[in-house]
Amino acid sequence: MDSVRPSLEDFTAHFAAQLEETDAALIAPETEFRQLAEWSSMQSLIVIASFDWEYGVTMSAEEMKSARTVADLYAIVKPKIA
Amino acid sequence: MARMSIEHIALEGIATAVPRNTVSNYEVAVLPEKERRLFVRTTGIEFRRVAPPGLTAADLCRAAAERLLNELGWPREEIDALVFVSQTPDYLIPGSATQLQQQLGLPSSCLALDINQGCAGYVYGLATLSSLMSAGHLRKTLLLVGDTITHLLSPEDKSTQPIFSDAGSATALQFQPDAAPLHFNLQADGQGYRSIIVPEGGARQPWQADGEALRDHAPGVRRSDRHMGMEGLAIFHFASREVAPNVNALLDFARTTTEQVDHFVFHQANRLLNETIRKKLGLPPEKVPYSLPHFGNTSCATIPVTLVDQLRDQLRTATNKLVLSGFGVGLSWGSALLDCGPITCPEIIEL
Repeated sequence: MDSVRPSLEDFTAHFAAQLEETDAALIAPETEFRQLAEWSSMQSLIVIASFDWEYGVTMSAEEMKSARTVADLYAIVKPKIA
Repeated sequence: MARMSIEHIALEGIATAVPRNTVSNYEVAVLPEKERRLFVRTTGIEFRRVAPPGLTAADLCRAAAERLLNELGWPREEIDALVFVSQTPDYLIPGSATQLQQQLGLPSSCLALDINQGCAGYVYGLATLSSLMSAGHLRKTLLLVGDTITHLLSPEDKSTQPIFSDAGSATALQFQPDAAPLHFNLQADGQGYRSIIVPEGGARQPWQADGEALRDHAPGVRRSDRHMGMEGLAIFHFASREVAPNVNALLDFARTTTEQVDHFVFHQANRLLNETIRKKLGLPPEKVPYSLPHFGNTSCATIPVTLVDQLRDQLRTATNKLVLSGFGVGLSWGSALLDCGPITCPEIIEL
């Protein structure tokens, strides 16, 4: 089922699409998303929900808190995709 | 497994009462201005009802019950049971159910029982009371469900302050030999008990001398141990995982399909979470009503508030097949499947 697993590039684009104000061109796999000016606790919820809607993946609070970069999130999400 | 079908009980009426005092999330001080619009869009909560000091959940439920009993024309002496579901009772001791029984003029032959339940409280209360009625052939009863959670919040906690709202409700149940069965699926997981908690003031952590001091928990989140705290991400994870399977298991148990159900009324947590659940269940938006914009998250009262706010006309005129689903504090969650209507359903009362 690798066909439904997003590439890191696609995943990064999906992540960037969840942000309203930040220019998507500024989001890369190594971006430390908590340092973004528009990042807030609400943004964590929005991103977690988007993973559920887009990939059918649930993410725990601990997993979310452990992630620093977009690539960290990808590493958590990718193995969970059915 | 706590899946059950309760026979011979009919839901005859629902009334709700909210504080008149309305607070706008477009102006809420605890949220930085630039976060307010995103907050409203994400949670769906524009306005909330906040009870002034001295107006309690029991008061709101009592007003709803008075109106409902009057509209039903039920003689008070025929009420055999009153169950009060709340996490904000008038006192630590005694429970509020007996005072409500007395204030409403119900006879001493009426049993009165308090249940400490929150977001799943309407479903748990309905299951408990209908079971008592069915087993004991009780004739007419009242389920009073309400909370004034805003009284437990820190003014400096942006993770709770703009979410919660106050409301009370009254639901009238009657023993009817030919009533369609009520189906329930109730669940619990105490592992997550700290996800929504007021740590201080109970027997485990009695009041401390410095208990009122606010402490930093996260940016924009300052509260004391006497305030209610909520781990939003943990609740989101729990509910997005557990609610849909619970509802599906209920429908399987009752041999009912989602297509046969007219409305799915969920606890109004926040729009993002509720929409996640709706999509998991594959439900069309028109079957999933929201009262979040004007009434916010009223804890255990969200389901009756949504029924009255959004479905009043349908409930008064026709029979509706409803799924009711609550989830949250405890952690507890549960769902009910019932045929409801035509029922007595006055407009929302403001106090």
